[in-house]
Amino acid sequence: MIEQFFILLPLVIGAYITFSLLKLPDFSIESAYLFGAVVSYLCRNLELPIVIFGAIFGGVFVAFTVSALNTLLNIPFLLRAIIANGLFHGVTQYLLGTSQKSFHILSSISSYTICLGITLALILGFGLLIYSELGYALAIYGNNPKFFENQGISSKYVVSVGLALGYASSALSGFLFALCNGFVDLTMNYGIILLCLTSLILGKSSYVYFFQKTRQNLVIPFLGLCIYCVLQKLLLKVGLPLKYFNAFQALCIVATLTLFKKTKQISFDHLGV
Amino acid sequence: MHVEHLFFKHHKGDDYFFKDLSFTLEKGKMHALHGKNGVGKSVLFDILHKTAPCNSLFLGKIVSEKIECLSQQFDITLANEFTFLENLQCSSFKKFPSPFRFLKQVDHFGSIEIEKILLRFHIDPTLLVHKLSGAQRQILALLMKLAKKPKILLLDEPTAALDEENATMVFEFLNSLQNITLFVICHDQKMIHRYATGTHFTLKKHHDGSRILIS
Repeated sequence: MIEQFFILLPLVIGAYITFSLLKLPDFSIESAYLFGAVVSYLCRNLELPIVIFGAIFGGVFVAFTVSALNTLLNIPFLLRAIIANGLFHGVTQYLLGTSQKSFHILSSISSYTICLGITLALILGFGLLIYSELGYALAIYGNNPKFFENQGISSKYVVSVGLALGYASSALSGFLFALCNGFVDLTMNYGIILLCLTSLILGKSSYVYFFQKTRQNLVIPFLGLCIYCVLQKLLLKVGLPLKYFNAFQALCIVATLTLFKKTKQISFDHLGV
Repeated sequence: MHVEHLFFKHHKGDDYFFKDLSFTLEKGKMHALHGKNGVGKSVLFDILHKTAPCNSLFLGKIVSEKIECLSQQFDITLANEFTFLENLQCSSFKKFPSPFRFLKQVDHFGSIEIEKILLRFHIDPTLLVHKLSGAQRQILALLMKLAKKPKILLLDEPTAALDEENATMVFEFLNSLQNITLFVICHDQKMIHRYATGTHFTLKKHHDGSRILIS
């Protein structure tokens, strides 16, 4: 469970930046997760830092493709996320050749140590970033995108950099998944949106309930993923078959939203996060 | 600010909306502009602020120092889920906010001391913006514009959505600003006569359809 937590935390942190802070319907995070794993697979025979950098590059590449679709063609965000998903599904299929490839790197460092190192570095990095000018800019964009128009701040820059950071983090998660499981699979990204949303909604609800705060904080994805993993473990213990887990996640979101909306303790936005 | 022989059409084929307008705004004073709804007061501000639509036609000369304009919907310029202080701090970001810089303490914008403003207008800087009164939100929006250190501030009906008490508060704040030329659209004659120390302009529709400015 702990290893799973360290694999998924970069993904949920990435989703927190794009979904919760920027408030973007960020479905192409699935592509970043898979593409990060695929690019690191292509670099598998090189040194470990290059493999990690390859994963980051994969995520950033997806982010800039999505940003470019808006900047150059002015396509709305939801549509460009769908287009990017289609596009990168084809690209990953082409790069992999088959639907699944085994994945092992040359480094002698254990996969658990790599997971731990990357996740701790991300927690430290994003923990600082979230209180920097850029962190505030990301959160303010989610609250009121027009703030930037009136203050002469580039909203394109804020969105592009926010996406790049979020997608790079998700891509690292994809790399860690492939590393720990020993394979890259074309379907490994299926359902991760639901996982992200469940974790973020659980995280936000419990954070606001316990701390009475709504401000941007890395505790939200951390707490959300903790609850998610504990719930998953409990359900497996009581014998829930894994094939029903997506349905359970959907129900979990509905239950949380209903509970907190009824008690009017937390207001949820258009993305529920 | 000097405006000389200003001609303006909304579209090239249209008649002139403004025909040969010339006026001067004396430095450091509050000037008022009034006129009926739809007469073109906001259009004049758009021209002065150089935000008129690109398919319009503009001729003439505007000589001015740095201008900022605050529209009627000042609320759209604020981040409601953030505090008064955070809004102020974020308004001083550069075009590309840095991941390596943290929020700076804001003591003053030019000659304006924030502490004095907070005390005078009973503003708690740690309150979220949506919990502030209308006048306090307007003062915040004005301060955010002042962060850009303008020499001229155009205000399009800054008290339109406020009651008399809140409107007085906003005008008191405007009155306390030094070395800034203010040009204010306002329908409240009482406020105009009390606070506008500069020229009072009236924009009217001429019989040929163009607008004339009477001082």
